[in-house]
Amino acid sequence: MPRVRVRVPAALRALAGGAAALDVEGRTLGDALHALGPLTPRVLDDAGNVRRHVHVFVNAAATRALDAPLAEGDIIHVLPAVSGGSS
Amino acid sequence: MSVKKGDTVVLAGTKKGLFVLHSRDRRRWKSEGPYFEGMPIYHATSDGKTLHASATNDHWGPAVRRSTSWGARWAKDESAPAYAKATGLSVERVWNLTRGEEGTLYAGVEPAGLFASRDDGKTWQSVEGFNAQKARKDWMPGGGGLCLHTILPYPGDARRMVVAASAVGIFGTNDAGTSWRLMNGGIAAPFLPAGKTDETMLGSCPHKLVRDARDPALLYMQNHAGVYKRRRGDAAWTPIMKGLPSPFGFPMAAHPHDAGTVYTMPLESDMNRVTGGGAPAVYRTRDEGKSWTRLAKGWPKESAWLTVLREGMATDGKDPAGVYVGTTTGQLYASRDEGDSWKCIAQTLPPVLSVSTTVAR
Repeated sequence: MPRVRVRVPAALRALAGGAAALDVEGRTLGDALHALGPLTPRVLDDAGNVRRHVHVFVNAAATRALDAPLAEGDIIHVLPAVSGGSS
Repeated sequence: MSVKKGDTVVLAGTKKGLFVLHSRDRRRWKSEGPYFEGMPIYHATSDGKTLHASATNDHWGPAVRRSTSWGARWAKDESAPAYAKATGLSVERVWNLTRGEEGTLYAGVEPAGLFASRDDGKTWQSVEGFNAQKARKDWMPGGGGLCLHTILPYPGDARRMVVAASAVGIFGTNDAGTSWRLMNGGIAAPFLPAGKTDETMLGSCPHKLVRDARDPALLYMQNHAGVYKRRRGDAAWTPIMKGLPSPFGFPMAAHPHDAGTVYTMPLESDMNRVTGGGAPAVYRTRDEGKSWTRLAKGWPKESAWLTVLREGMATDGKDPAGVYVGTTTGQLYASRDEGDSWKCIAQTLPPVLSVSTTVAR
């Protein structure tokens, strides 16, 4: 099972015990995002999709495909999208 | 935190955080916060000891947060109601938090649904009798979204409850949420071909409902297209808008003690959702809507084009009752004499989404 590192955005670090990164195992991006404990529902909505205003990158490539395969040592970035401004 | 036992506490949920105002005498107010800066607080509620707030992060989704220190500290085990994955639904925001009988905390959410927590907001269970109704495939959102925004437990009877969802209607249960019946009879609906809704027809647009202080079987409603009352056993709603300047408005609040007494704040019209003529006024009935009194002392007399949203009005439990109104332009008005006179106790808040009150215990 590939071991990957998930970078935790500053706004969610309180839910990760203050950690800036979490190391998890997963064959796919979905596996890794489901392994984040209390962070998972902040990244994925109830239906299991990446939240609308959240961007996910595997290494430098943006993706929302939860079946995207992971390789040992991949870095997953979870970031707030550039959105808002209407309020 | 300086909230003291016996203080009147006003929770002002705004588009940019939660403000906690408190006062010993309801003349001088102190403000704490904002908490959850930058986040819309659709609703907050307190039983006098524990404070629950619906804090929605536009990126990271909704959460219900809990504090026993009036906001100074918040429990780390934040929670949120969530639909089962198989439904394909996802909770966008929590519109209302209401304490029910036997200590249950209820959450009304968007897309319209009802959730219950029996551990003070730590975990949530779907009220499946409501959320899994077959007819929900026909529910259509209104301008404010498909939200369940009103939850009215029945004092002393945990089997009974009424809830309301925008652009869908009013629902009642007599069996603790196992089954629900629509209660849309007799409500004007100019946005439907029929012009009104029958009892079981979808599409009424309730904005806010309250129970009478003395008779919990008597409901009052500010609807999109009128103001109504209904007593248990009635087959339809009865219009009570004669004497109001407009049938349109969002909020409604019941007097905490007096029978037949409720407050509303009419807006000019559906197409112009501001206080009519630039002269804001709260309206009060003391006779179940047979007559209404305009209450404008202390409000601007001109050039005040205000909007008050569905959760923007509340009463406190004191005697004489206090009444509170928050506007989308950031003013918070308070009355300590049942609405007869008003004072602006906060002038420049972010847009106010919700107002609720409690007395600190």
